[in-house]
Amino acid sequence: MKAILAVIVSGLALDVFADPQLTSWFTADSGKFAQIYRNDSKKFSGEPQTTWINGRNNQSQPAFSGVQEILSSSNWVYIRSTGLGSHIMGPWENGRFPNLPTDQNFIFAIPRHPTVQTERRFNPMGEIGMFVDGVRMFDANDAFSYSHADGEDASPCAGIGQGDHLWNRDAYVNERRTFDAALGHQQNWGRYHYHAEPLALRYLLGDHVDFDATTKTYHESKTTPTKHSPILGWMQDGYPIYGPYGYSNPTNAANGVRRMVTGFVVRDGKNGADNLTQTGRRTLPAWEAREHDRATTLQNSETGPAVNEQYPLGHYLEDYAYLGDLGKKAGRDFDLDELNGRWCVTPEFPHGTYAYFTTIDASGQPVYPYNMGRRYHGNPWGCLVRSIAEPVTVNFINHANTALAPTGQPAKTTTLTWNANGYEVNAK
Amino acid sequence: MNALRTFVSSMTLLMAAGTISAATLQVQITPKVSGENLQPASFRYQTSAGESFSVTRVSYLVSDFALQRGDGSWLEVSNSVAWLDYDQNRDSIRLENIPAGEFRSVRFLVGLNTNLNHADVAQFPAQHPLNPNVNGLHWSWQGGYIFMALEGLWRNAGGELDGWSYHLARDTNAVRITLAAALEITNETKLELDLDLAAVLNAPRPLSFVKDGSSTHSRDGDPVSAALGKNLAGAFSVKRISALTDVEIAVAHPKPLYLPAHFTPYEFKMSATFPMPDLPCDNPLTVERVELGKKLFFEKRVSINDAQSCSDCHLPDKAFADSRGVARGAEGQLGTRNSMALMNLAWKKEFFWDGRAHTLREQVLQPIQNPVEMHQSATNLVLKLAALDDYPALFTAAFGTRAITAEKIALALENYLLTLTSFDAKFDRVLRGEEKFSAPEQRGFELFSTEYDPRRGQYGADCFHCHGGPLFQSQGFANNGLDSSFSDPGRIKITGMEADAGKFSVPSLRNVALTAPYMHDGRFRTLEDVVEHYCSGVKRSATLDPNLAKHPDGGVPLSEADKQALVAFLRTLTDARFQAAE
Repeated sequence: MKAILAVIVSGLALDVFADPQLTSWFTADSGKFAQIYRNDSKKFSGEPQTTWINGRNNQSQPAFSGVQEILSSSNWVYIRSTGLGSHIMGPWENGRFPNLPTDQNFIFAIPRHPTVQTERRFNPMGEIGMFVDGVRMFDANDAFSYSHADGEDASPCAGIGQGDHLWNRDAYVNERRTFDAALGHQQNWGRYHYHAEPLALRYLLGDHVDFDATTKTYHESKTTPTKHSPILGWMQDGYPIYGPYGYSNPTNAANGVRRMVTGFVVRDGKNGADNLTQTGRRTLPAWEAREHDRATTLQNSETGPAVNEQYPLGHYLEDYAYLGDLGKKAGRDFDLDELNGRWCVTPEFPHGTYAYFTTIDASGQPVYPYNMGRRYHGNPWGCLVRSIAEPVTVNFINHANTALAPTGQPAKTTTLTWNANGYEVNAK
Repeated sequence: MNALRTFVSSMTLLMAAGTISAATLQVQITPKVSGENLQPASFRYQTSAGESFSVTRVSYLVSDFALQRGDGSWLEVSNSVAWLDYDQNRDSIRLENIPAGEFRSVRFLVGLNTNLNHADVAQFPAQHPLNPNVNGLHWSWQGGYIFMALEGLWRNAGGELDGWSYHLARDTNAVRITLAAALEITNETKLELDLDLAAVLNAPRPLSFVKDGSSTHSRDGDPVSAALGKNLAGAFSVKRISALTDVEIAVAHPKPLYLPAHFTPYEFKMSATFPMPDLPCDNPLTVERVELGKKLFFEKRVSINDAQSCSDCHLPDKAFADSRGVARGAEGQLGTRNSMALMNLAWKKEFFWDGRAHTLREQVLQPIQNPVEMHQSATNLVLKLAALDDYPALFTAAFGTRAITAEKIALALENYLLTLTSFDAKFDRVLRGEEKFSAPEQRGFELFSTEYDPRRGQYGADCFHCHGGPLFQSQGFANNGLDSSFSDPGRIKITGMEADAGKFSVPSLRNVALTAPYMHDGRFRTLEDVVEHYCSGVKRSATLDPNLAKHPDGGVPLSEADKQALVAFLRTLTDARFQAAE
């Protein structure tokens, strides 16, 4: 334990390991208690609270914000976080949304040496990474899909389980009304998360986002971006995800920056895509068929609902086609591959890395696939762990918490005894 | 008293070193307000925003002095560090062994460099300016010192008294001061500086208690500490340079009193994390004296009617506190105050609730002679003990001769009381990683050691300002808001200073679960009552401690769960080993 403490001190003083997996975390507010606005009136009167109770999600004692510890071994980085945002969270639907966030006190393990997937595996989705403020990243899907047999989207309320997994709902489109100004909300056991770009985090990191103190909302800045976006988080495969602005030239930092353009377009008959409004949802996009290793054509029992007011274009992830399947080329006609990343140099990786980018459209709104496509680039060995089973170096510990951390020093007693010249001091 | 002791020890060192040719520069820094002498606790001052305020504490560290030679190079004065405190009349640092000559400027830090700020505090000798028990400026457990503590009261918009408390701390906030000063240093030279507190709060960055907040603890990104640093840089000025004439004469090390030819040194034991105590050199701890003192402590014949010993009001299994609200004398008379717990007295400088005794030997004879306590005259006590079979031999072992005197009785009791050290509570074992806090205890500690400062997102219970450090006692005397007018005036009776009305000794919280009832008059029966007082019962008055006055009316609003957590933490300060020992 003492040795570990010594490492903390030297680590802080020297900062020799400029390893972005250790240094990119947002810890400036780790010593502040997480806060929420319970409803709109509390938001506008500027009265956040640090404790809250709703019967289901009870934060009866204040909890700190986000990242509390950064620990590392040679193969893993461990982030202990409360999972609560550093920005003020909420309100959600003016207080009507049934869930409130709670301290998750989880440990996220990230592989330090990411490896590229050799076989193309369709990975289970859900939680796919962690943002640098210690908030979890959920994938673009909200876990529900169309059930052909029932003729509607499966949902817990409809009592239909999770549907056919062919027409998967877009979480941002379908759940957006329940997000707070940071584009976050929490599921039923209080795990706060972002599905799309982490807008308030980007503001905290100075990533081309403005805050309107009157409306208490965040907006993409109107100015022309001049700097590369910071690392916003780490995916479970150990690769970083950046804000929307990358180098114009993937291999040369000297040619300025621009908004990274996604390779996905709505299947509305433009950009070479088919037109689902005319054809009905009778075919999967090529990227999705590839992931399922099946034909694009659907059986009659697999088709989705017609495009209409209830199921508009964009309702499902499969309403998007990938331009790479339509004769266009990543790196020439658009920037990001079907996983929403590319190999490129970045400020933190001057020699290049695979990097994901959060995507927004030209007007600054989040756009599919938001953070990651339907598959990881690397082997997603990262996960939440209950405990750490190997010796680790402490790279960061919330200093508000260090008061509470044991020193691990053995019991030492100092003895003072009188001799002719005064008291003699002995420490044992 | 302390200033003198420090001075004496540094003179001793100087003489021992025998560097007679070297010169000495005494730097004296006087707090001023716009050129006027500081009037403590007076509401004559105004911020630039027109807020009336007083100053009750100016306590700070200066270090790393250097003098610039004519050629521009700097002479660093090694080990130059001082604690300056308005209340304690500490205003000077002596820079020894400086080569005589001409210098053109002086520079120093308000605060400490990183190494010094994070040094192991247990290493500093008893009278060293960085000994936490001397300066009361060390942030316990979080490491590092408060570089400058400025506190006082102010009147808010409603005309009510409120507190302000600006604590400048953290490595990056140490402020380098450089002043042009044509110094011709010969033998003994004195450099007098002024520290303008008006500038510290006003220029170039004006601070307003309303606008900027009435407290800072120098957390990262805090604008108040940044402003203080900026303002401090220009707040010092050179007032006078002169040859020093009134050099104090060095006093010799006090010799042990009545030390017998043969004695057994007593092993005084304490936690290695405690600061060095200032054990008396004229009353060395010996096994023989401690044994005699202990026997006297439990001796009923010390009282007029042989009915009461010290231990009857200072119960060993209650950390030597009394479970009665106020003391009850040998003849049944009731006193007015609660008998205090007796532990870790080696770190205390004043005794009794009002601090009227400066040493334990001075203290111990008072309850014996007090008519409402043991009511025994010193003469009678000596005669009674001399007539008993066992005492003359014990006095011989402790003091070399059979003669019993009131002074020796006091010295023996002082010896014994100094040995009552408590340092093995669950808290200590948790700190060492041997045990774990329960969740409420952990939360309680967090509340205990976190300030209440909503403006900066801090919602702690703010206990550590007065009960900080490994001894859980970091401030001498305070008015903790028990009353708005004082039936027992407290410390003002001793000092005669208005600013001390309603102030009482701040007790250590070690073993606090054993020492009920609480407060100087024993008014609170339980720890829950005490916590409730700090949540809802704090009453405002002119001398309310600034660290409490800055809280909302009534106190720190804690939830019921947090109140219980705080009590759970306080219970971890009980030292069963101390409770079992006598």
